[in-house]
Amino acid sequence: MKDLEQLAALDPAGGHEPTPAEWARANALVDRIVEGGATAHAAPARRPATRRWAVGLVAAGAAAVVGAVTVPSLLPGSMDRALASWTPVPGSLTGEQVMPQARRCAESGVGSDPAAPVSPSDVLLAEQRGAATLLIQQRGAGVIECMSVDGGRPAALALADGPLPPPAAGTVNVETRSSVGDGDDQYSNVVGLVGPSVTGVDLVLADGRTVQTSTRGGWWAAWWPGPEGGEIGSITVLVHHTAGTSTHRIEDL
Amino acid sequence: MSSGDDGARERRFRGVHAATYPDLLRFVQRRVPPSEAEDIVSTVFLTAWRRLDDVPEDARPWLFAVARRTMANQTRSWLRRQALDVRLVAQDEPAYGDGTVDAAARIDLDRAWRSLRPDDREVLALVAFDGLTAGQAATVLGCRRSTFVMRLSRARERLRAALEPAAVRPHALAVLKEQQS
Repeated sequence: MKDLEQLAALDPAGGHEPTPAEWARANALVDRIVEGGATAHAAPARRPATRRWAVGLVAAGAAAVVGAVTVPSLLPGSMDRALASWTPVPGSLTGEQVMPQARRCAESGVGSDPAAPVSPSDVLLAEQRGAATLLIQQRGAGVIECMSVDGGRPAALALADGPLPPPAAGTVNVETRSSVGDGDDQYSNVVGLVGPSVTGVDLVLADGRTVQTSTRGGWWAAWWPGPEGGEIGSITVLVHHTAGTSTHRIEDL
Repeated sequence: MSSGDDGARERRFRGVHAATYPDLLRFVQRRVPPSEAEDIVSTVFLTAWRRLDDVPEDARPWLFAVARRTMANQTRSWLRRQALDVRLVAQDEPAYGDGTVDAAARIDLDRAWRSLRPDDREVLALVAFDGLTAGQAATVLGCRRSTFVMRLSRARERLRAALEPAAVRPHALAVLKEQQS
């Protein structure tokens, strides 16, 4: 086994013990998970097992006392409610309408400027799918994505620390995409930038489902039930612009 | 579910977390950029809470398997559809280990490691970095123990073969010098 023992010299994490701050964030997450689980037990009306739902992407802000930590997943109770109420067509919300959520997202501490003030104009995009509200929100010079369910504890993810150049006219890009979870609890999320003259973006999934994304404030975003966000060849992107519609594999964006 | 069941469930989850968090964090840090590791680990423990009844007594391999799937599913700019792979100590990072590998040997190891396929690196890392037994590593990869042992054996053969050119290099250099003299 000498060859394997020698390999230990290449270990990028060998000897690393979690720092006190890492332990504090990890323990704070455990507290939140347990708290969310109790909520789920109190709401036994779950979706039928044969149906496949999903929840939006995400990342949760940590308790302010332990600093920022991102958790790319909704807590269990919130996830169930979001899955059970998801809609393929989003409702659009104004910054004024989502100020309570925007304030809670800001309080999560996620983003490069967690102390930045919050105003309706900071909400670049806000959509509603069932019980879940998804925001793309300016935080100082940076931008975060944030999801909350029924006004509960939000989950936030930093998208940018500063200004991003917009894509060319009539095109979009993908800043992040992912899938989270297992089995029927799996869900996907995509976020990107839109260029000038783009009027809308739709996703066609491998199983034929169409997801209408939200486009506003220079961004497009969507979340949906299923694993496609983490797969290759499972998402076709239809970009609607003033000159027509172009079709792309998401891997090409 | 009774409050007593809830209490037992919570105690078990906290116990699993306390016992496995450092190892799981290191497992993930070996495979994604450090800034992403805590996100992945958090997602794994969320999954563990939801599926606590499925978590076996030896929780570590089960959690590592969930972490692998989570990392594979998480397409961020750092991954962009590249195969999940094990990182190495960067040249400007401190090297850990017991100091038995000198600088020259480490360079050879590094070169040999990089020449391997990601699949070979993964089976080697599960044993050499993550410290798993063959049975535990098989759980992580979702294969039979015998299959893992075979894959490990082949990966070690390819590692040794990749190290051979470096091992014979001094001899080749001596021959070259003789020819030049």
